[in-house]
Amino acid sequence: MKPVALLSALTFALAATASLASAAPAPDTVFDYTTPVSWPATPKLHSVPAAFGDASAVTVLDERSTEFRKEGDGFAVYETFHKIIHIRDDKGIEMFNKMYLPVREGSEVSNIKARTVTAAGKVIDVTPDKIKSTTEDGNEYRQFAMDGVEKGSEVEYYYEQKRPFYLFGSEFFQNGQVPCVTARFLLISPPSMQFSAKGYNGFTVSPDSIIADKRIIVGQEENIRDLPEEKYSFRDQYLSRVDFKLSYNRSGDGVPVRLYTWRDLGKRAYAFYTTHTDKEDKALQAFALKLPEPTDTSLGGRISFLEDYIKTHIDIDKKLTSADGDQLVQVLTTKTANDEGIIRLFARLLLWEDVPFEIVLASDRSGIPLDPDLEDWDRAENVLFFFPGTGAYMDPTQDGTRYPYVRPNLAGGRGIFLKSISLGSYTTATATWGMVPIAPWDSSSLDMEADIRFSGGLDTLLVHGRQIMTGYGAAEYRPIYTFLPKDKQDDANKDIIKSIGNSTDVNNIAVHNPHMTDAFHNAPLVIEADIRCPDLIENAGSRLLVKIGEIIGTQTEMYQERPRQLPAEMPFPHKEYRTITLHLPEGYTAKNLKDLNMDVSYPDMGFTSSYTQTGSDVTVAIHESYRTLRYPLEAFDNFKKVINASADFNKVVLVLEKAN
Amino acid sequence: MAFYKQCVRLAAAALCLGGVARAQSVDELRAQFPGDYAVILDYHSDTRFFMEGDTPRAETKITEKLMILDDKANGEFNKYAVYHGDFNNMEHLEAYTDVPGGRRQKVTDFKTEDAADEEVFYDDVKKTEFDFPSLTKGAIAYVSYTQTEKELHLFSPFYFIRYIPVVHESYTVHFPSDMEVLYDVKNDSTRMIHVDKDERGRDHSYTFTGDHVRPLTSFANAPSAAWYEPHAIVRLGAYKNAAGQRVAYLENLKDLYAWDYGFIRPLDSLAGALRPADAPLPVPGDALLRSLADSLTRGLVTPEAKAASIYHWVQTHIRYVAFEDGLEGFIPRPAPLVCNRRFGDCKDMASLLTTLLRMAGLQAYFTWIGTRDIPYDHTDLPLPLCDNHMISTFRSGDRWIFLDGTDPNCIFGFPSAFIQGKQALVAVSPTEYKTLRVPVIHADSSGVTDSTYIAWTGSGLTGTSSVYYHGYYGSDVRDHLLFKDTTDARDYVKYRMGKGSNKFILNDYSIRYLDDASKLVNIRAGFDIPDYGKTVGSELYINLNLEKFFTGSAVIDTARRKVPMTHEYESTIDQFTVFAIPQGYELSYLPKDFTYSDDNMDFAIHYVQKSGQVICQQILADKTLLMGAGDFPRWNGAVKQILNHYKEQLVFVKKTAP
Repeated sequence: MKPVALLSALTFALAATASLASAAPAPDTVFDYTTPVSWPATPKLHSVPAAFGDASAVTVLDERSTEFRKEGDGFAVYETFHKIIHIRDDKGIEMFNKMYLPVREGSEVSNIKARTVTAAGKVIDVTPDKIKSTTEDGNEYRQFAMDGVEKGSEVEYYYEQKRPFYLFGSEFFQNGQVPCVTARFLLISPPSMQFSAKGYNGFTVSPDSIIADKRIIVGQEENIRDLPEEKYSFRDQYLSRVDFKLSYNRSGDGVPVRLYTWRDLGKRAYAFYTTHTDKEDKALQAFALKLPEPTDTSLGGRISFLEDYIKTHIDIDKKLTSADGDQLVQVLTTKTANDEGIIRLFARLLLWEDVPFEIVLASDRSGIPLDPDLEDWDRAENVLFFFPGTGAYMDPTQDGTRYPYVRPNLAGGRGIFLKSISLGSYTTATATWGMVPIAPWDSSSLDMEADIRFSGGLDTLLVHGRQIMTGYGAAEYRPIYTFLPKDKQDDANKDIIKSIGNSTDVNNIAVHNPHMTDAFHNAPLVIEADIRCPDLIENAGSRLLVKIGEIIGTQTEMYQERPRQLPAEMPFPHKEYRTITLHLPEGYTAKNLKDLNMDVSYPDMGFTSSYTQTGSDVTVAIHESYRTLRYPLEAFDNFKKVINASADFNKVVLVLEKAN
Repeated sequence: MAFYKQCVRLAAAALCLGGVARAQSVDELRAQFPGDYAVILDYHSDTRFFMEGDTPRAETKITEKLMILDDKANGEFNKYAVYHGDFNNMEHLEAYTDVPGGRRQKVTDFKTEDAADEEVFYDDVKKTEFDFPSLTKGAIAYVSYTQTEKELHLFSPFYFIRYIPVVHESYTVHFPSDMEVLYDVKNDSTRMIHVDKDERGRDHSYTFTGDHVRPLTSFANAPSAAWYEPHAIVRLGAYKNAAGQRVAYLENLKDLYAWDYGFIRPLDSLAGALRPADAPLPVPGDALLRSLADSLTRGLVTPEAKAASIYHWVQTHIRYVAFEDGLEGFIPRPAPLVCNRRFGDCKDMASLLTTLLRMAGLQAYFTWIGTRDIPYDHTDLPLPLCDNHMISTFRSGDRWIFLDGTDPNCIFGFPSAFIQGKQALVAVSPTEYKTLRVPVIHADSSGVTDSTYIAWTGSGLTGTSSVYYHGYYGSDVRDHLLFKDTTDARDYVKYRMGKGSNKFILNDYSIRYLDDASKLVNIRAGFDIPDYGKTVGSELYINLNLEKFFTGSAVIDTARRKVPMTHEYESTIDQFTVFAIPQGYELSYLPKDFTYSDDNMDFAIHYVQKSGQVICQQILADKTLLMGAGDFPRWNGAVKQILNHYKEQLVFVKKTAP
């Protein structure tokens, strides 16, 4: 859901008191409510703490303020940004000799000041004529280059931004590359307007205080390290930040009015997605009457069919040029819809088809999950449909997903479930928190089978390989067979098959169950082919060395990692079961089959490999699995061992010797 | 390096876009284009050259008709974008869909914004986007617009290739009979392009048509499409002005030079060496620049030493940031400004270099050049299309040295790698220019010398490597390390030194920047490679080709790939791997040596046994910048031979007790 669309119908009326729902700071924390964000007349160079000695650049100061002011009959928001960055090396110069200041939608930027203080202390100002305005991907920027940036210099900038009134805000003070010495945040509002604010991941937020007829909340943190992305993690939720939202109207004499709760959002969102005009209903009926009949008339079959039909006939585009992409008449006429439009269309069609559903506002595990304590409606932008009749979910805005699979990052987290209730002719919705479950590990697979023979000259492995995918594993690949033309599909097949034995010599490719709707019965997507692998045999005098470990494709390794900061999180739980059958050439025996046996298992994950031999046929069974989504930092060493076990299997080489 | 980026980008944009359709049914087209979900039925570009006062201009009407053949890739073809800029503004944009059954749906919502380019910090190229409605099977999408070329020198070439197959396309240029129009057709060995000339009456025209054009396929290490995709280049040679006099436009290189020189004239004339040293200073900052030139050359005797010192200063102090707003894309900024800002684009750096060199009493010249993305020479094609870059050329006696300020680690005396072999247009004076061929630096001048010592641990290898990088390799290593902090540098060293397997564990390392002039760099590192090598019974097997420069994927699929392969530069790798024979073992099998050589590549593996050691030497020389498809079979043959030799392991056996 795009909150802008949703909120356009809202009005903010001030009327009346309670306490704040912000995270409590430590009792000894001292907050500075007074210092305004300012532009010093005489800049000076700063020293950088020794702990940040290796950083290419260090943010000395990052101070921001957000002030809500009454203006005329309404409100406006005045924001200031002030940053000082100390440049330490060439990478730092490259990062900060060009500036992009994002301009938020509908905002006016003013009073941009920027300067470089060279290592020798000379101040070079950026003059207004050097500041350019640009728009990219719908976002507006002010951009300029900084003169005289060198090692030991500092880059400083300040600007003000007047924004239309808004209800929910968030400011991040941590990133992947540049540590920060001091971060400050001021949230200022009229006394009648009370915000909730919550600091996350080390950012502390004060209780609010009324000073000089303004309500002020202060947030701060010192010495914020850089937090780079790590393999198998979703980092953003761990970044230092403050979120805030308008919670109370204290303008009247009576009880303060609680505002913008999750429950309110539920009602409004449900109404927004399910209410239609008569004109829309008419267009919808005409469309619905022409819908073909599903072949599978079970509830799940009907949902799957409807979803596929819509996603195959309506262009879904979050960035649709037309602003009317959420209006059903327009959607049905032009067969194009933005996210809101397609959700509304599905909701209406499901009602029409009498399919009971709940609308789910889902957390995105790869972004910032929804927080029951801080009602930031802006983050409730991912909508799923839940079907109580089947217990499964559908992802309406994604043309590349099919029921019952949704984007895996929207599963495995908390969501708000909007369930309709009718009181006479009035229908509204209740909002309750619940988990959006992720499919169990054994329903998502990236399995493989390889049948290996030797070429006549014993210099090439002739492999018949099959990649077998199910669940989320298959969901990642199926769009290839719908969205790419045939020649690009062939290229993609070769790339997929290439991971068996790392060879591009691939023939006789066959693909099974490539249709998007094959997801419904979780029919395995199978890509099989004949592969010639000359690289996998080496010679040691008269012996053959068979690099059987490389048949499973180069595996991700974590042999030499930096100290881990974040817990591990998988895109989805899954299994990777592999069966390798090696037909030994006549007269040869394998000397070291025991090298095939490996066992690195833990309750929630593991990699095991074992073999059996029947005559000249050796069969290896490899079971690798990650049975849960999250592995805490304490379990990270074990997680790493499992990841590395498959990379270690890559190194297994069988020695074949000809019997005398 | 993004000088003249606009015209290149606009041409590239034209490559991504889409008349008169001959009525064919969806089913017929599906049969003709199996496996494709949409085709461009007709793409038509209709240009008119005309005079506006005494200035020649061009107006082009583009029309494209696209048909949807399958609902499968629903949503893939709706979004459409037209690129335009200050020199090439767009008007009369119209788009609609003819829905099967006869209804027409017009596009009413268009959005225009800046078109982002990674290489250019700011330019004026814009993108207008819209969505075609109702693109279901059988629907025909139609778009048309006109583009006006304000500057006919920058008139774009016409490429036939598009992102989906094209049934028919045509490109027509109309011009008055008193205009002299020339054209070149490039990369059309299969005679796909048909040319029709109409030179009757007062309105002449050239029409280029093509049918059944397959879409673009991308390949690794391919040069730009200009090297191999069919295209037509039309230019105005001369016209008659209002007084009826013939005016040369882009007939020959002299005309191009006159146009080019107009952009540098103000700078070229005030640059230091052209002015007496005691003349009044014309621009603020000039005195500072002079004192900079003096300080950089003080105590240096030879012109080369002075030039090298100035070049090094510019390379290390001026950062590449490109602003290409309108004429900013063509006119270099004054040297004092560039110096003070500490940033600039290629032509700004050329301006600063040329000025500083002249202030030091040296001969230096503004120089236009195309990077290797551009296959044309100025002498064959006198068009701005030949350039996308500017450098400074320094002359010392008979020696011409090309100085590219944008390459922070380029060796003085080497051209930047991406202009090797290109033709340089050197501005000697307002009326005199020279075309010089930039040298291609020989494979021996850039390379890697790797001495690796390894020993068997019982379950893998432990060892040390000392690797020297010189020439372009040295510059590359320095470039990569330039923008890396300590942790990123460690990752890079691991990537550079890694060998054996991905279980390579990097221990302590050191980086030494040995000789700045030759960019020699030495990296030494200790490492372990667990699980490399194998013991079975009393035998130990080790493959001493720890680094394999070729794998099976180096074999080129000659049935699919007809596009040449490029290398950034020629180079030589000389790698010694010294294996200490483990105590108690003796060598029982040593593979044979192998040597291969052709015009493109030298390769060899040599094994030598010395007291207690076996030494494997692997040599690879890449001797070409561009390998044509004709050489692919020979290349594949060589790779297969090399792969066979890579399979050879050494065998050691435990000595039996005497």
